[in-house]
Amino acid sequence: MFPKGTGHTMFEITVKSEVLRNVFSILTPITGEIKLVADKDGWRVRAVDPAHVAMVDLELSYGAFEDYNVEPLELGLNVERLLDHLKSAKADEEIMMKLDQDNRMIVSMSNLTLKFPLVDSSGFSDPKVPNLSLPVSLKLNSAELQKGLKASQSISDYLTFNCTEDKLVITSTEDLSSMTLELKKGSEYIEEKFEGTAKSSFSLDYFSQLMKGVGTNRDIMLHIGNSYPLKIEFEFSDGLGKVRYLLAPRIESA
Amino acid sequence: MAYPYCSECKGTKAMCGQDHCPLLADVRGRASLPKLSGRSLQGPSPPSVFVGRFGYPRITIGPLASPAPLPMAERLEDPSFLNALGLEEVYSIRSSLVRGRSRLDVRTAKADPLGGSEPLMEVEDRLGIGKRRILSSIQEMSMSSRSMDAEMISRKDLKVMAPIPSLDMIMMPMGPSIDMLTLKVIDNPRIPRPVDRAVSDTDMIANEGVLELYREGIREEHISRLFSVGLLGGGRRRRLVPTRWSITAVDDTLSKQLKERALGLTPLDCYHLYSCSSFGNHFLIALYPPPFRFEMAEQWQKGSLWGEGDVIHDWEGPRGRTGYADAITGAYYAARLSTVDHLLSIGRNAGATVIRWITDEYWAPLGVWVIREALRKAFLTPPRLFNDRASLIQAIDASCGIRNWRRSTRFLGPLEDMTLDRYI
Repeated sequence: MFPKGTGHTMFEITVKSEVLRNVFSILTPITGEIKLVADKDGWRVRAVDPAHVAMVDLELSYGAFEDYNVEPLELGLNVERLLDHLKSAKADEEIMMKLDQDNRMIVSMSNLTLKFPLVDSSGFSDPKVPNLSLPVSLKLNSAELQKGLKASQSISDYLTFNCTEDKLVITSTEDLSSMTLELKKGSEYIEEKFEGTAKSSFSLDYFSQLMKGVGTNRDIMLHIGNSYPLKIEFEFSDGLGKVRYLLAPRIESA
Repeated sequence: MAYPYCSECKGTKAMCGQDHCPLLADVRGRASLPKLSGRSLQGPSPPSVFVGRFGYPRITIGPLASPAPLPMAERLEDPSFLNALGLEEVYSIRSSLVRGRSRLDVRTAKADPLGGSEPLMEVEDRLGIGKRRILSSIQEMSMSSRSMDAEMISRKDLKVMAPIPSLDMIMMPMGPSIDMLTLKVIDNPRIPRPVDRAVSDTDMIANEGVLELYREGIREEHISRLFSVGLLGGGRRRRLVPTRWSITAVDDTLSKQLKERALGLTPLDCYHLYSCSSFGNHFLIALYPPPFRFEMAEQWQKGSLWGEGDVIHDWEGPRGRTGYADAITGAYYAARLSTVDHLLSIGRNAGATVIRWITDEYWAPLGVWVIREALRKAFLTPPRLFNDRASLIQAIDASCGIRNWRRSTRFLGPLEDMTLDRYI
C-alpha cells in the first residue's frame, strides 16, 4: 500500500488553475471530500456519493501539470473548499500545491498563499466500480441535453432515456404535464454502438448534478442500458483528464 | 366551518382571510382555565418556557407556571407521561400553566465571555436591570431538569387578563398569558452535567451542541428549550429563538446529522411495515432498501381539528432537502427524527414512507411530540416483514386509512430507486 501521507512525502505540483478547477468541479457534484491517490503517472480519484446513487472515476495524467514531483501517496482533500478558493484565480494562472512537513497542504496562487490541514481519509472506503456492459453508446454534445434538463425541472423528478435505432428520446412526465426531447442519429448524436433498444429512468436531481460536473459545452459519450445504470464518459484538458460518471437507475417495479 | 385548505394552513397562514383561526378559537373555548387573582402568581413550572414569534426580533418570552400546587409538575413537559393520558387530560392539564410575558430583543441572548463587543453593549444598555434579571431567571429555569417554583408579578390585576390559552400544531398547549414585570425563581435548579457543559461552551456551534446533548440522553424538549432561550451555540451568535421554530430546528438538525451516519450502515434487504395510533393520529411506516429517502403523506379526515382535507405530501430524495417542508411542516421533521433514530438502532440504512391520517379523536392540537412519540412506540413493536415490494404495497393498501395513498407516494410508486451497490 501507499504510505498514508505520514512522515514527509514528496508532493509538489504546479498546474494551470483551469485544470484544477475542472477537476474539482467534476468531483463536487458527487461529494465534498475526496481521497486523492497520486503517483508518478498522475492523479486518480474514485468517489461515490453518500447515498451510493452516483459515482465518479477520474484520472489526470502527469502531463496535465506544468511541474509534477510526486511520490505515491493518498491525500484527503476538501474539494468543495478548494473549488471556492480557486474562483479568485484567472484561468491560465499557475497554482502551486505542496505538502509541508506538518502534513498541511499549501496552495499558492500568485501572491496568495493558503495553508490547511488534510482531511482524514482513513475512513474513506475505496468504492467498488460496477462492471457494466451497456448495449447503447452515443456521442453527443452536452448542450443537447441541457435544454431538456431545464425544461423538465418544473415537471417531474425523473427522466426516462429511450434509445431506438435512429433516435434517443428523453421524457419526463407527471400527471398531465410532460417534456419530450428528441435527438436524432447523425444530426444530434453519433452512434458508436447499438446492440438493441435501451430504456432507463434516472433521478432528475442526480442527473442535473452530474451535468453540472460535465459542463455546458463538452463532447460526451453516453452509455445506456435497460433499467440499468447510466454511464457518462468524457475528457478534459486536451484528453489528459478522463472522467467516468455512473448513475443508478430508477427501475419499473413489478 | 372547515375549508379544504385548513389542513394546509393549520392556523398559521390565514388562508381563509381571518386573522385568528376560528377553528382554534373553538377549541380554546373548551379549555378549563385556572382562576387568577391579585397581581402575583406563584407556583411550580415543569420547567417550561415560551418564546413567541410575533414582532420578531422584538419577541415576548416567559416561563410557564401553575398557580396551584401540582404534585407532578415535573412531568407536564414529559412526552412519555403525557402520551399515557387522554387528549382531554393533556389539554386541560397543560392549559393550567400560565405563561408570563416580557418583551425582549432576540439579540439579548448574545453571550460574550470576553465582553466589550459594540453591538452587544448597545442592546444591553437599552435593557433595564429588571429585564436582564428576567432573562437570566428564564435561562436558569431552562437548564433545570426538575420542576422549579417561580413567582411572576404583573402590573395589573390578573383577574382582568384575557384568559386565552395558546394552541399550535408544533408546541404543547399552554394556558392564558399574563404580562410580567418581574420574575423570581424560588428553588435551585438541578442542571444535568451535559447541559452545563454545552451551555458554558461558547465556542461550540449550535448544531454540535444539540447533537452532543441528544447523545448524552437529554430529551428533545429540554434541548429545544435551551436552544430557544439562547443557551446553545457560539457565544456571539446566540439568540432567543421562538419556541415554534426551535422545536423544528432541533428535530431538523438532529435528524440531518444522524442521517449521515445511517447512510453508512448495512442496507436493509427486505421490507418493514410498522403501525401505531395515538390521540386519533394513525400511522403506517414502511421501510425499504436504500438509497435513503424520506417522505410523509398526511390527511386530516372528517371530524378532525381541520376537517376533511386533501392528502398533503412532503419528501426528500437521497440528496436531502434544502427548503422547508411547507405542506406538513413541523410534523415532517419530528417523524424524520424518530425514523432515523430507529435506523441507527437497528443498524440499517433504508428509505422510509410515513403515512399519517387523523380522525375525529384529535380535536385539539397537542404539538409535534405526538408524532415523535407515536413513531417511537410503533418502532418498539416488531414490524411485519415482506420479501418484496409488491407485498408491502398490498399490505399498506389493506390497512391504510387514506384511500388513494398511492397517488401521493414518490418512492412506492411505479419507479423504484436503486443504488450502485446492487450492480457490483
